[in-house]
Amino acid sequence: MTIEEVKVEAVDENSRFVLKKIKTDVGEFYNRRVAISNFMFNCEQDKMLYNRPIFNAPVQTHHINWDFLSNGWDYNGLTTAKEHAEKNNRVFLIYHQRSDKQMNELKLKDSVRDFNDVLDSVNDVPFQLPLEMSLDKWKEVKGKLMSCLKPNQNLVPIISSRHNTASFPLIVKEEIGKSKVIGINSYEISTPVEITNLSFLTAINSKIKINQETSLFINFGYSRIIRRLSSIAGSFAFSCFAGDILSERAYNPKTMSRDVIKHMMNRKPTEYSYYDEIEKKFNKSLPQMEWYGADLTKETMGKVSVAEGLNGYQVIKCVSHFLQQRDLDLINSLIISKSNLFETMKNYTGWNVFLNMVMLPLSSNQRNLSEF
Amino acid sequence: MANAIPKWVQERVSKLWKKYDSKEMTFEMIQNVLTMDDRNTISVFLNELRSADWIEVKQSKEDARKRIYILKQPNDIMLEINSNDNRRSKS
Repeated sequence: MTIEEVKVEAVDENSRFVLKKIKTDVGEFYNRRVAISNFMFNCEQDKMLYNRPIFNAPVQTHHINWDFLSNGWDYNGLTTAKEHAEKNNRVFLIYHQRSDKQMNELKLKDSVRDFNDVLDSVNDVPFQLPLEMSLDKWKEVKGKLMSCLKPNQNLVPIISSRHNTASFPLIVKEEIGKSKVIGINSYEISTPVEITNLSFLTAINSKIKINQETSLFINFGYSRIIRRLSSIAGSFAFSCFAGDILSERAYNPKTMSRDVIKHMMNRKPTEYSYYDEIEKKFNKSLPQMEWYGADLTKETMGKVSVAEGLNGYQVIKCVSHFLQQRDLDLINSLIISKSNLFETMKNYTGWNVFLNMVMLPLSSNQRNLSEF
Repeated sequence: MANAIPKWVQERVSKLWKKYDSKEMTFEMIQNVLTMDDRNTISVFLNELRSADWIEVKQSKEDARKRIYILKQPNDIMLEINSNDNRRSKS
């Protein structure tokens, strides 16, 4: 699937949330989509062994992990993932997933090397901007990168939400409307730099007028569950900061210690994090029993047949993915119906906590970012 | 004057009322009832109650840093909400 056009369909006046329509060569879809990332793709492969249908999603991502043994990127699985995406008419985007240390130490030559690594493999070629790259340097580098692309290829600039705050808004403003897709390295909305840059992003995103061409922002690598914010979904949190496509962090067993892997393998269902659609946040079996008098995790696992080809953990993660997408669709429908978004969101525990702790304190500051 | 509160806040008020009625409560006492919620959620919950005037808040005599919370009587809250609604519809 090729993205042909991204246009602003509606802007909610109060929240400044934007509804975008994405036109592709095979159809249209709205923004606020949770991508089929590495784990979900693995689940799809397991389902296919049992001739079960895959998930209905227009975007698939592949997070490439660093292999510390070979001291290089692990490109295994890239071709298979790409073929699967093409066969199922999905937009396919890749991402070199770095640790904080790797990101802090990233140099231009590393980014160029990674760009060249995948230049012949994909149509949407990512380029990771180092944290201190200025707008002028970016323009210079971009010119050279564009000259390497074939006519059917697109450049996907990826800028960190921890990028230098002086350059971040300038680079985003430069790229919006020019690049069809802009990647944003995302974390846990825990540092002042992240909050500042994400606020800039939201302000710039919401200033594009209706029917004007714009860009799709894809949040790469965020935490699926933001525990410090009452365990709300990372997909929801970043969709509130101009996130159009959400692609959570992929876990790499090669970088995990033996103890962590052992703990993961021995995890009981009562320890699985379940997306509670009523509370709009993640919780586990014990608090569910105390609040609802029922173990929702166990009940959900019991409802899914083994003929789906998934184990218990996969079932919970797939259901959580589906419910998160449903909630993002709800936000889109609220924008379309011109409902009071913030008032509706206040009715749900997790969303209300996020509004009170993050969004509402920022909303007055966003109006002061009108220069962007 | 009391105002309406979101559903998730009402559910938690019911649990607190069942346990403590209109007795004085500390944050820790509230945590012991609302076991599914973390500190952030309880803080926002109390903030919602305070904004909607469903709760009285005063300083603890033992420790000035801590707060004591007292739920208002449901009848009083309903009368105030009703009075608010009548005032709005007249204007």
